[in-house]
Amino acid sequence: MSLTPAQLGTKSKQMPGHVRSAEEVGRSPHLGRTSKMSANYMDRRFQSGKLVMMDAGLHRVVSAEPISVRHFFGIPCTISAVSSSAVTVKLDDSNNLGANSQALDLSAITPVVGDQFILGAQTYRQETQHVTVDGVSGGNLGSASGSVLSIAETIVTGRIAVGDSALMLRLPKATTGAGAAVIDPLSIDMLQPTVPGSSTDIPVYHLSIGVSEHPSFIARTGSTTSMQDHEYEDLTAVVVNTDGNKSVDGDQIGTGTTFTQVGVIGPSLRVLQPKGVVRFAADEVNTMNISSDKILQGKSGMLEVHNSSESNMNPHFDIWVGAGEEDSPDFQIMNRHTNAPLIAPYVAFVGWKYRMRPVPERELRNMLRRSGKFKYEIIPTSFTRANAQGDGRSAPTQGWKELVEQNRGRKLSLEDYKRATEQTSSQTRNILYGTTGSRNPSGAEDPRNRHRGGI
Amino acid sequence: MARVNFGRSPTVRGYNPMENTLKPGYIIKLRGKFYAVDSVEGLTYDLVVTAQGNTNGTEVSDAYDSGYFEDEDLEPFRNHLYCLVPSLYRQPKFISRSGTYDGVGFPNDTTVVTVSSTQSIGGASRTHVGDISGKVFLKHPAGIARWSADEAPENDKTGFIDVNTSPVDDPNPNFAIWIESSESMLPNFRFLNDTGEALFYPVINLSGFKARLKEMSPSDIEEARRINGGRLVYKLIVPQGLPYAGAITAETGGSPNMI
Repeated sequence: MSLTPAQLGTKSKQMPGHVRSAEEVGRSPHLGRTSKMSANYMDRRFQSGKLVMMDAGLHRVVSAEPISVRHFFGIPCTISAVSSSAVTVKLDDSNNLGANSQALDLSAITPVVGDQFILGAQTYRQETQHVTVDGVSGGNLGSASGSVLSIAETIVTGRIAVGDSALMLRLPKATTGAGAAVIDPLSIDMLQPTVPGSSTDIPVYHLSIGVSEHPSFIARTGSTTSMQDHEYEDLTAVVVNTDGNKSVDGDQIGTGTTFTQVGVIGPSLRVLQPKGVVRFAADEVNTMNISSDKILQGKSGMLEVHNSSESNMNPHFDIWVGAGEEDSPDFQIMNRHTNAPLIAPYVAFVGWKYRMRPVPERELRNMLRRSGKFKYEIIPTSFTRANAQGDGRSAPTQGWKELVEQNRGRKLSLEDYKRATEQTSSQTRNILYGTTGSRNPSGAEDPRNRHRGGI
Repeated sequence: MARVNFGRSPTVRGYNPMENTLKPGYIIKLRGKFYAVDSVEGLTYDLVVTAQGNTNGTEVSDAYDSGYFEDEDLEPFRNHLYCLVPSLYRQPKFISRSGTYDGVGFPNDTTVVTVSSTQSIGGASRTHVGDISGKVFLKHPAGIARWSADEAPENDKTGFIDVNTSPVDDPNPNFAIWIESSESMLPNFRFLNDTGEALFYPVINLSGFKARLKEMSPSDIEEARRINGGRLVYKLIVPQGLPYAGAITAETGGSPNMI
C-alpha cells in the first residue's frame, strides 16, 4: 500500500474531506494522450468587470475560473440484475436507434471479455463504478434475458442497483451494409450551470469541444482492420503466409513485423443546441434524418478528430451554455469508421465558467453621463435558434402560427414581412436598437400594461 | 476495401485562426450593401467525390478524375453566408520492405521474401513515409477558375491544392471561399487522383464558419455611425476577389475600413 504524503514525512498534510474511490472517478483515456503536438487552449475571454452583451441584455463579468469535463460515451444499457461478481445489462429502452433505425443495430451487440462498463449514471447525483468484463453468458444486449456479465472487480452493490444505467465503453465499427453505430442524442447533466439561489448573477459556461483520439493502424498484412473488438492486432500471433508453408514465427518471415500507426481517428459528434437543432451544419443538411445515408455519408455538422479533437480543440466550435434562455445542449455520438471499433470514446469540454451580473439601468445612465458611451463584448446566442422556429429560408423567425395570429385583421407590408423573416436574434436587436427591443414586435412591452397595475 | 478514413496526423496542430473570423456585432459591406453580423458558428462539410458515396463504397482508382461538380446542399439560406476552407484527407504512403514506392499501396509484410533457396527475410516491414491525397481544382462561381496563375487559368498546370497545401487537420485559410445564397454562386470542384494509387477516402473537407446577417437600413447605418462618433467601421467582403477574411484587412491597409 502506498504511503500518504504525511507518512512520507514531507511537509504535506493529509486533509479531511470525502475522497471518492478511484474506480468511481472518471478514468483517463485508456491509451493516454495519443497526439504529440501542443494544443490550442482557450484563453480566458473576459476579465472581471468587463461588460458583455447577452441575449437578455447587458451584463458585467463578476468572476471566472477554468472548467474541465470529460464525458464517456458508449452503448447505453440498464442493469436488470446485479451481484458482487456479476451484472446483467440490457440495451436501454430509450435508445430508439437500435433495431428500428437505419443505423447499426445496437441490440444485436454482445459484450466480449475485456469490454469495460461504467455502472451507474455519469451524473453528480449518482455514484458509479468502472468495471471490466471477464466472462459473458446470456444473450445480446437486446435479448429478453440481456447479457450476463461476470466482472473482474467486486461490484459495490451498496451503490450499484437494479435499474441503474450501465454504459458499455465501446462503439462497434460501422459496416457498409448496416451503417454507422449511432447513439441517441443525450444531455450531460454536469454541463448545466447551477443558478445561485441568493443572487441575480447568471452562470455561463464557455466550452471548447474535443472528441477523443484513437490510433489507427495498418496491420502486418496491409489490412486497415488491425483492431479486434477491444484489442489491437496481436503481434505474437502466428500468421500463415500465403505463398509457402513457412510460419512467421522463429527466424522466418514476419518476425518483428509490426502494425504501422498511420493516424488518429475518433468518434463523430453532433451537437444539438437547442435540443433538436444540429449545430455546425450547413443549412440544407441540418436535420437528424439518418435513413437515407445511414450516417456514413453524413455531410455536415460532424465534429471529428481532424476538426476538433481533445488535443487540438477548434475555437470555431466553442459553445456557450447557460447564456440567454437556451437549454443545455444535447450530444449525439457515432462511429462512422468501417475499419475500427472505438474503445471508451469520450468528449472533452475545456473552457471557462463565468458569473455575470445584470447591469442596472442606473449604472448604465451613469456610464453614459460620464463618458457618453460604453464598450462591451458579445456572448453569442445559439446560431440556429431562429432557424428552428422558422420552417425554411423565408419563414418568419417566430413561426408562421404566431405571425398570423399577431397580424390577424391587418395588412402586412413588404417591410413588415422582411422584418418578420430577417431571423435576427434579440441580441442583435439589442446591439442595433438598445436593450429595449423597441423594434421587435414580439419582444416589445405592451405600453398599456403600465396602466393595468400588472407586472 | 470499404471507404476508410485514416484519420488526422498525431503530430500536426491545426492553425484554426479566429482573428479574421466574423463576430456578432460586426458590420460588413457585401456587394454594396451593409449588413450587421447577427450570429456566427463553426461549420463542417464533407464532399464525397464518388456518386455512390460510401454506403456502397469505396475507393477511387488511380487517374480518377471527377470532372467539375457542385453540391446544391452547399447553398446557404437567405441572409446566411459561409466561409469555408477546402482541405484534403490524408492517406498513408509507404515504402515497401523491398524499397519500392511507386504504387505499392498497403504492402503485406507477412508474405515470404526469399533471399536464397534456404533463407527468407525476417523483421522487415513497410515504412510510413508521408501522406498522399487527391488534388482539388476550384471554379467559383461556376466557370471562373480560382487559385490559378493569370497566364494558366485553365490548362491545369496551376491552381490545385492537395494534402501538402491544405491537409484536413490543418486547413490553409488562405484558400477560404465565401459562399452566398444563390445557386449561381455555388463552387464547382474537380477532384483528380494522380498519386499512382487507389485513394480510400475520396472526400473534400470544407470547414470554417457561417454567419447570419441582417441587412441594415439607412437609419440603422446612420445610428451606427452616430454611436461611433460619426464613423462607420465595417469589414469589406469581396467573395469573388480576395475571398478570405484575412484579405479584408490586408486590402484596407491592415485596419478596418472607415468612412
